[in-house]
Amino acid sequence: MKNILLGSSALVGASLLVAVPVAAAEAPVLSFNGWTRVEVSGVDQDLTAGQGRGYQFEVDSHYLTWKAKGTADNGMTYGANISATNNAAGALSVDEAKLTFGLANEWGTVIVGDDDGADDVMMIGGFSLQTAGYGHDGGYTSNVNRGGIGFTGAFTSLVGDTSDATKVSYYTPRLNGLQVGVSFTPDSGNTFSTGLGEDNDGDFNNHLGVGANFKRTFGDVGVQIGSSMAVASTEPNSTTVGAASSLARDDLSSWSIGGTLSFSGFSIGAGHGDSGDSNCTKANTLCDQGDWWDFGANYKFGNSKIAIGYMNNESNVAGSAVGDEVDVWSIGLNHDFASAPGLRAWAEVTSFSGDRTGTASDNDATYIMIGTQVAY
Amino acid sequence: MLLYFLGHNSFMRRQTPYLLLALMLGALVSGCAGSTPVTEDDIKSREELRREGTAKIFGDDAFTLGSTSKNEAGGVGITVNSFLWRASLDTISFMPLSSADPFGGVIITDWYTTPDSTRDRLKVQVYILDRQLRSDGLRVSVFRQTLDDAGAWIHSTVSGQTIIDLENAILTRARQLRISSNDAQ
Repeated sequence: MKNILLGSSALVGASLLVAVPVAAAEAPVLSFNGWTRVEVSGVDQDLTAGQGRGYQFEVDSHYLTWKAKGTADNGMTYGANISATNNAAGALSVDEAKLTFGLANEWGTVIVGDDDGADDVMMIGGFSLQTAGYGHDGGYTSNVNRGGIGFTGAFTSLVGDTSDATKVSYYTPRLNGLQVGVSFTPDSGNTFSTGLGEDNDGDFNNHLGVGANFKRTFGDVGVQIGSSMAVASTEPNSTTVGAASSLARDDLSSWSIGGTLSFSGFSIGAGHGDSGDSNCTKANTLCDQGDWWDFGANYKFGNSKIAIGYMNNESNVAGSAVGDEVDVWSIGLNHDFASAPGLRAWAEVTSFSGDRTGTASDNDATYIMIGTQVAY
Repeated sequence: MLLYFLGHNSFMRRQTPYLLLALMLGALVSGCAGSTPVTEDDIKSREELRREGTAKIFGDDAFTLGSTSKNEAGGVGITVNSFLWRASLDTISFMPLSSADPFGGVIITDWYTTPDSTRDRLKVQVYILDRQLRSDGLRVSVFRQTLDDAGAWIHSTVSGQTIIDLENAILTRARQLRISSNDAQ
């Protein structure tokens, strides 16, 4: 036994002779990446007489992202991240800009700046399984006319989503597969009045978004479950500012839950979200910002993925006697070219149907898209 | 059924967000037993997942300046992390080498007998698994044989701690080399 210990100890001891203590800090890193997506799409829609069909070429999006990251002597990581993209006018503008602080990992991560909130980050549903065209989760919305019927309820997101408004977020480490995040956004419109008070432009104040998800693999089965919620105070808008309290709007209160299961290349998922009467005029008891169900499934084979998706959304944003119901079906295929790293192509067909319940009014469209991207 | 109830009962529609919040906090507390560190790179919005869930032309970011740049793996003849490679060679340099493959990232020593224990001999294999300087980019195997009374070498076990200590020694040396490299630039 003594010899055994001597042999092992000598091995390690000898190896340590050449190693001297070093500081915990690591050198900072600056990195850059990006992508450009180009699509050709066609739509057949019955909403506008004489304008039922059309096609277009489109630079769907391009992103340029710079990241800087360092590690302090105590193990805390810190960094900055800026992403620029094309805005509606086609110009390049900053989309996200944030600072990140990894609190020595054991204590979680703090993110401050223009970034999506925890209620968005933690959300999981059928949309999580779609192909590069995003399926029923909005890939079609840039070209399908949703004027009037079906304008709302086109995405699996919560009403009042703060998107990239300036906020502070905290995320815990992942504990047995579970991670929780919380975000606070002072003003979802990212603007304040002189004196830093409420700016009364109709968006949300003191937005609190909370999300949690569980990601773990049990044998060959991958399980992901996510839930999120958001609450906020509504600001008066141009109609309601200074008006009687009956014109005031309901505060924001919305939530979602969903999950996916993966096994042998197959994945299935479902999600549900409800925005209730968030932001509805209090006097209008019929108003409903809607609730959605979505389902998705995909199969991965080699460098390809095929996916189907479905979403149903019922809402009555106008608070009229009738509401809107939106059904979206999608099927898509994407492929990453192994011989050309960074090159991806996809094709997708989406069926959009918006119906005003109890009336003859509807808005149906079929959307076909072929796209390609280069990421670097 | 539960979701249907939550979605179609007006009182529950209002209260569900707070119910979910309580469940999240409860689940977090109950899950505090095993923590897996998460870096900010693991926290991605739906949009970021879409952007980053795809291969890139260069395999990684278009360019990287700093300690984890691809030039760590650079150099003609070395396709694995150069700091891990050099640190491994340095750390086990007191042992005779049997083979060293810089393309595959494999270093195999010959049998080595320590002066303190002539009836034991050891052999080490080092595998460098990554182009990045990462703690999980290294795997060490140690083999030990003991001379029995009949003069034959018999395989025997090696403490797991020995392997961990040796890996730590290599990683420490690699970090030292990288810091020295940065200071020199």
